[in-house]
Amino acid sequence: MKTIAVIGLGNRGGVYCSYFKTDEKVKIVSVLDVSADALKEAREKYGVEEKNLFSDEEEFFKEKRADVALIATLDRLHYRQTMKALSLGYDVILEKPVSPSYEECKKIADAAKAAGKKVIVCHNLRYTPFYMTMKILLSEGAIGDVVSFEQAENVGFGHYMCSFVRGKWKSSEETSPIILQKCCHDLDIIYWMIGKKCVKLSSFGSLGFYRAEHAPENAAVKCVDCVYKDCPYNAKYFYLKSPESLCVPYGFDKSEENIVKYLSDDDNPYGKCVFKSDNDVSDRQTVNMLFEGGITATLLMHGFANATHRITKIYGTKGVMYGSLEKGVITVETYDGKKYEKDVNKSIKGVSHSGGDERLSRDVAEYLDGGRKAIGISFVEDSVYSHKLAFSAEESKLTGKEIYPGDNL
Amino acid sequence: MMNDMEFLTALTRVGFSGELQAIDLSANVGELSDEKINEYVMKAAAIARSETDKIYRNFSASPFAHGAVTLFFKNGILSRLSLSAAPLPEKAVWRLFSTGAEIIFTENGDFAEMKKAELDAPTEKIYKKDFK
Ligand SMILES: NC(=O)c1ccc[n+]([C@@H]2O[C@H](COP(=O)([O-])OP(=O)(O)OC[C@H]3O[C@@H](n4cnc5c(N)ncnc54)[C@H](O)[C@@H]3O)[C@@H](O)[C@H]2O)c1
Repeated sequence: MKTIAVIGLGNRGGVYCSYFKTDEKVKIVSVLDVSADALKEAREKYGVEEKNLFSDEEEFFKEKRADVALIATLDRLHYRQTMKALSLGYDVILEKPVSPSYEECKKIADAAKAAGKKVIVCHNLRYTPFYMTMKILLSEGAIGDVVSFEQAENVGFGHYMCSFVRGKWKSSEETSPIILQKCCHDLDIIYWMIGKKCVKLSSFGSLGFYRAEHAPENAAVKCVDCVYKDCPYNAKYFYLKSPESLCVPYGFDKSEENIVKYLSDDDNPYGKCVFKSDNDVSDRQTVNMLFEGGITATLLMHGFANATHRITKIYGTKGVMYGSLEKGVITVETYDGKKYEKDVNKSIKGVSHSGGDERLSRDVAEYLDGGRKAIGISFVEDSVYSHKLAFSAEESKLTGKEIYPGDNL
Repeated sequence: MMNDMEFLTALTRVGFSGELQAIDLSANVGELSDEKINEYVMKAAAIARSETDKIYRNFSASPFAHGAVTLFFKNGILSRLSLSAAPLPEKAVWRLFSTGAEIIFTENGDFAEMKKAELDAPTEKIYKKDFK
């Protein structure tokens, strides 16, 4: 059994801990979080002893508190905390993105190598039954070698406005650009499936819609004060219909009265008009790539779907396979006329990220405890390369130039 | 009856659609010539009702022609046109994403599927023949 110290018990930290709690291969023994609510959660839900709860980072890092550090703070803290954890000899489970700075990503990979420690990056899409089955089908030669890859990340407007207009990832400077923040998963899937390096890429994108000039006349800054009560983006209208989409602290009572009070708070970004927020990340972006061996791949991301759905289509030398992650059905058509479907819905356990979070938690716990290495496990070196595609895409989007990511990290 | 492109452009103009933001095409074609690629670029421009601001073409020839054109239109609409000439039947599927709805249409089909940008919106079928 391995012991785990959690650094950042927020939304993501909580998801993994909920699975670790019932896994005999790991035990949560210590938590560092600056929020009193998070430490309360650690005490109440995970039974962490008072003496092992920390709100002070310096105090926490004075000594090694467990075998493994789960780092699930926001993006800009990853580098500092991972480097400290590695220097104390922890193996690390690190939320993506590794860091919003490519130089820092590389330094983490180097430090992990130098320390002889594992840094496993939480690319939960790899662990979904959908993508895992696609990977297995590819390795079994179901469609031959990859020829071309089409990936679409159609982000639901509700999710987009919650996370990327009002929420934690609305600003590239505060966290990271959306092509890294959200699409590092898609770029990782593309790189993982193709298994070759990218020769060149181009990216277009912009923030086109969620801007001040699209605000209806006389729209208020705070939705609770707005005359457009049934605007689809109105925070009160939307979150009362979909309270599960609202980002709130541990133990928040989601009664109607409380939600309205929460959204009325002047300092709460979730109550703001989507056209009057201080967001700057793109609401649409494409990445058009050429990989070694003449393999082409593209990604389209935008925030205008009814609900979030990813669509993947891979052409191979012997056939094509395609499907939607959320529907959970993969269709394979071979060029000699065979057609069949794989329905992966039965293997989905746990609701979050199409079963990816549960499987990631189980597979990582098993591996760190000395067990089998599941095919999805992604070490920092691999993630740094797929992150490099995201950094290159952002550079291309901003400069208008074609970028040559090359072989090296 | 309307042809495919008339139908698609008309669909993006009706009230429920709002403003079009992104166009996605996935097509398998018999032969992937420059002419064919340009034909699809013109179709996307007709749907976007705009001129191209930026365009990037990325194609390979082996073992069959495949690749994509990405386009940024002057009115801000972004488009990805994925094209291949795999030994499979020809098929072209358009997905249009606007502020009011998302629409899927397979060329030569009789109807489009539409979901409004509302929580739990059902999928509705819109038939070409009923559409004016
Ligand atoms: N894998 C995925 O699919 C996925 C999805 C969403 C987010 N993420 C990533 O997960 C990370 C966390 O996102 P989240 O939504 O859980 O954020 P969150 O804000 O819910 O959680 C972050 C936690 O860190 C705590 N914290 C802040 N400063 C701290 C400090 N100095 N030391 C210790 N704790 C501190 C906060 O109090 C909070 O509890 C981000 O990097 C994000 O990019 C990954």
